[in-house]
Amino acid sequence: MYIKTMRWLLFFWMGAVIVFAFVEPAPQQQIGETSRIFYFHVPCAWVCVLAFFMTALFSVRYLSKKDPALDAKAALSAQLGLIFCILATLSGSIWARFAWGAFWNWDPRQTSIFLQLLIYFAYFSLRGSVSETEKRATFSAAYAVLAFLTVPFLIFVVPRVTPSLHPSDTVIGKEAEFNLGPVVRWIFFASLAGFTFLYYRLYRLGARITVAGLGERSER
Amino acid sequence: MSWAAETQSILKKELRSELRRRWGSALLLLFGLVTVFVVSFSLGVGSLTPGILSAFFWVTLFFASTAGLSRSFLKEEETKTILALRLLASPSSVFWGKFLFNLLLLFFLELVLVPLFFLWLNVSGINLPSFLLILVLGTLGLVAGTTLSAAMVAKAESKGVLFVILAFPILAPLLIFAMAGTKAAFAGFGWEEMANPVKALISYAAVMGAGSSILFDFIWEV
Repeated sequence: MYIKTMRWLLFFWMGAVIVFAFVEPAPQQQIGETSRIFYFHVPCAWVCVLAFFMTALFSVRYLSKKDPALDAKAALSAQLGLIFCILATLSGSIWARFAWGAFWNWDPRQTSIFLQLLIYFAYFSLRGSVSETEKRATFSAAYAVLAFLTVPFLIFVVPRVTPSLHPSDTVIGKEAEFNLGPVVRWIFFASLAGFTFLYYRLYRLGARITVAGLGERSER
Repeated sequence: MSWAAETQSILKKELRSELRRRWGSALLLLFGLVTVFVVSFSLGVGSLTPGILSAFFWVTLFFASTAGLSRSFLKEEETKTILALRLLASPSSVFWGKFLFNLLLLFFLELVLVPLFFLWLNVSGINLPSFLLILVLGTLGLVAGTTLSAAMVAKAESKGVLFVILAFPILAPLLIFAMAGTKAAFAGFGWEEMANPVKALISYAAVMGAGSSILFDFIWEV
């Protein structure tokens, strides 16, 4: 019952976000229709970082408790994060083609999303090349925490050392009120909530399967 | 034994074993030489912009140093001494002993590579004190960011390629800051332009050093 309710809620919420994102006038008049991708690109990037934060959090808890379920949850969150990271990279690249003129410009924001992608790949490479269960869990947890320590540098420091084209004050910041109209903000935050909810649902469903799998394995 | 004495003896042991197997560091030096050679040879003689010079400088240093840094724990695994080390010393003194040794190894490598780089690529008109400051801080960050990955790779199954794959995303912010800093130094700029990269490099080395030393305890005992 609960799962069914959640499924329909998610379906209608995301459906409404998609409809409104295309029905309402484009959020940014200067770059026109292409700016609608804003409603999908930014939430993807947000979930990509959120999922990695959750991976790091589960990793810290794994290191202190040594519970295999926590390791499975960390890996699961990283899997979901990887999907959203690929989506954010692709949608950002398409948008960059129309807003900045080329699919790839090595803008600091593009660099950091690409590095986030590399971190996910490195995390799964490490998991793939250690076969002993406890060792794999500990190593990947340590790597996730270490990699997470670089995220603040990528988000806050790199754009200050190298020049950027990417707007940083559209959503949060002093000038946000002028940049985004009230309708745009409503749709945007609804989309942000919808994507976060989508991640949460996928995570919950995945966690049921993996934790059940772990229990089965230990029974054998 | 106190922590400092233990760390010191690990460092001494590392230096002694490195001196006994001199071909190891000779190979590392040759590898570095080849990277500098490839870069300077392919670019030819001519005046390069500070941006290109600093990019090539750090690319060279990154590849030359990964060859040396990845070996630090691998050689313990090869000579089967890792168990003895685990019994005799505390994790944190092993970490800092290896850390200091890697730092010395990289400084030794740079002592040869940097003059060659300057000579072969006709580098002139640089701000030498700022350049050296960035170099030292960058080296510190390079070691701080890779020691943990080196320890993990030694116990993993696919060792060779894995180290670069693990180390690069962690080192990327460091490389960005160091390239920005050396670019300003190669252009001959003063302290004003250096302040931001220098601050970023110091904080990177501090955060990564502290983080790795805490995480090392967990992976050393598995």
